[in-house]
Amino acid sequence: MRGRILLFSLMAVVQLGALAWMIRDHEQVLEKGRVFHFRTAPIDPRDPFRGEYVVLDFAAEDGDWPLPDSSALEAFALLAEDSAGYATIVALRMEPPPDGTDHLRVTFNSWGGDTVHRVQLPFDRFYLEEGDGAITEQLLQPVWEEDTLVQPLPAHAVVRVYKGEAVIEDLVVDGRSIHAWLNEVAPTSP
Amino acid sequence: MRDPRLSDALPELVREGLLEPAQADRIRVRYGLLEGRSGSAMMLVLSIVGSLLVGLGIILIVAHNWDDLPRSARTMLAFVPVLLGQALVGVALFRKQGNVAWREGSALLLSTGILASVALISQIYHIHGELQGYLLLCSALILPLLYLPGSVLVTLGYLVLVLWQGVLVRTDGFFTPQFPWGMLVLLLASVPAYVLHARRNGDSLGFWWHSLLLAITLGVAAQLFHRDWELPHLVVLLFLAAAYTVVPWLHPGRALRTWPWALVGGSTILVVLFAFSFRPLWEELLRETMLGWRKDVLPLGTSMVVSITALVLAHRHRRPFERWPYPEALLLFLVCLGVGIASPALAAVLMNLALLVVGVLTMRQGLQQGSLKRMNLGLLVVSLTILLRFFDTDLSFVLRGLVFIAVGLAFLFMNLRMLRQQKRDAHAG
Repeated sequence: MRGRILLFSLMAVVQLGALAWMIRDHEQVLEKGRVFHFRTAPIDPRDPFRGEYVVLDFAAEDGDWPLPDSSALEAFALLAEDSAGYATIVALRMEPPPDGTDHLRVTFNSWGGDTVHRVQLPFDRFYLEEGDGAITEQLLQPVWEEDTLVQPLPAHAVVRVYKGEAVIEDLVVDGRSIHAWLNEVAPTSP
Repeated sequence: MRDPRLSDALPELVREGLLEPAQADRIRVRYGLLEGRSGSAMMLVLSIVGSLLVGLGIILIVAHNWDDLPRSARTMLAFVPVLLGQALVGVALFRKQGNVAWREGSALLLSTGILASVALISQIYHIHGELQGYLLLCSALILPLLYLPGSVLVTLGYLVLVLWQGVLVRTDGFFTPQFPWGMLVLLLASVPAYVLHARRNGDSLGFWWHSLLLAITLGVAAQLFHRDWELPHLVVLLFLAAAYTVVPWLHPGRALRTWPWALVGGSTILVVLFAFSFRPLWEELLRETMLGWRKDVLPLGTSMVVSITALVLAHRHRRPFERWPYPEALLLFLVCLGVGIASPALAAVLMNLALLVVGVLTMRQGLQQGSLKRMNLGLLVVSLTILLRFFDTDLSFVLRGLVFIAVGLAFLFMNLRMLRQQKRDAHAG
């Protein structure tokens, strides 16, 4: 019986500990992380377990960076801000910067060349209440204007970055939080 | 094995003096009816359905997402499903020992609680990542429940999650193959639970399902570590399938419900044999460079060693062609393969003959054992072998019609004959 109690306690601690670890990691980033604004254009998929979210496609993911290692599929992206205050990636490195420059681990496909044209940032989804995903997508649906696809309202994600980890804090559309927009456009069903 | 009609009939038989109370008790022990006193079958079903509904309800509520609540409140709420499940598992372990309904219901609730809690934290912190990462973490946290309290339903669900995760990982990186090592570790970690289940309750319906899911999951997992797919991969797959069909001979003297291994292995062999009854497949297979196996030496070698070990071990207890001819079908395929190198067309002809042999042998064994299912399977193999030739031969519609009529009549005749035989045997008995 004592052995069973011990094993049960161990199982309970591991299960709760894993959840607590997930929370601690992300809370730390939210508390201590520096804020970056990533310009974005969302679309609306659904996860069978985790509910509704919008996938975020960031402008900072496109660029031309020299490939740090021909066989690499991931690297550390050094972050900076452009003149408008939006986040950009200035370089890719194989090691995290020793001087504490804000950075993120990114993945990419080099397709055999010596330049990387697109990277995947380690955050790409923003969860919303059920039904809000479709409304958000509608709100930010790009439209054609004289042969050019433009987004009607500018949007960016507010992301906290700390020691290479990142957590999305908010999605801002035309200067206002998406939650404020959703409350105004269509109150969520009870 | 448990039969509710038996549990109703036993007290009646004791009252009528046809059975002694001690004999009735021995029958109850034999069919596991005493277990029913601590948790009846109805209780078990209700607890499982109830737990599933509560668990799914929690997941649906979580999927709704509560943006109105502050983050701290949502973080606290994330622990509730797991704490609730753990409390109930604790009660099942220490207060309701031996109660199957409590064991299954509480473990099921904790499993769905884990799925819900991890999902909730993912929502709160907008955690990125594909579904496979979520499934991997949840499976790892559910794993202890296979042993403590040892729930059968959670084990089945766990195997489905692990299989799902592995297939997602392997099919995700098309250009840069990713192998599901996490799946392999989780799958191997569940094998001792299978052995324990066999020792404790190897003749139960739950063990039958456990065998089926483990056979499918292990079989699929063995294919997920290949970089290429060529002739050697097919041969190894057939060896593995043949090894599956001899699993019932790996536990001589112990009545375990391991028949699903033979079911999965036999089905795989039949599908491959039917596919290779077409000539173009032989031509395609033998045209390949056949060098891909060098990249897959480790997975192919492991499968081969395991398969040959199982076949050798079973050979000590099984006579050739005993119960079913599927292990021998492997040899027939290898003969066809040898011929196919010289002439693919001849290999296809031989494969058709091999299928007819397998079908006739299965039918004969069905007739000898009085098994309608097996006899019909044999008949189906023979009929399908003939009917499939419609696709690669130019037969007239009249001839095709006559073949259909002949096959239909054969099914009717054989089934009627078997039913009459069974009736005669029953009267004679």
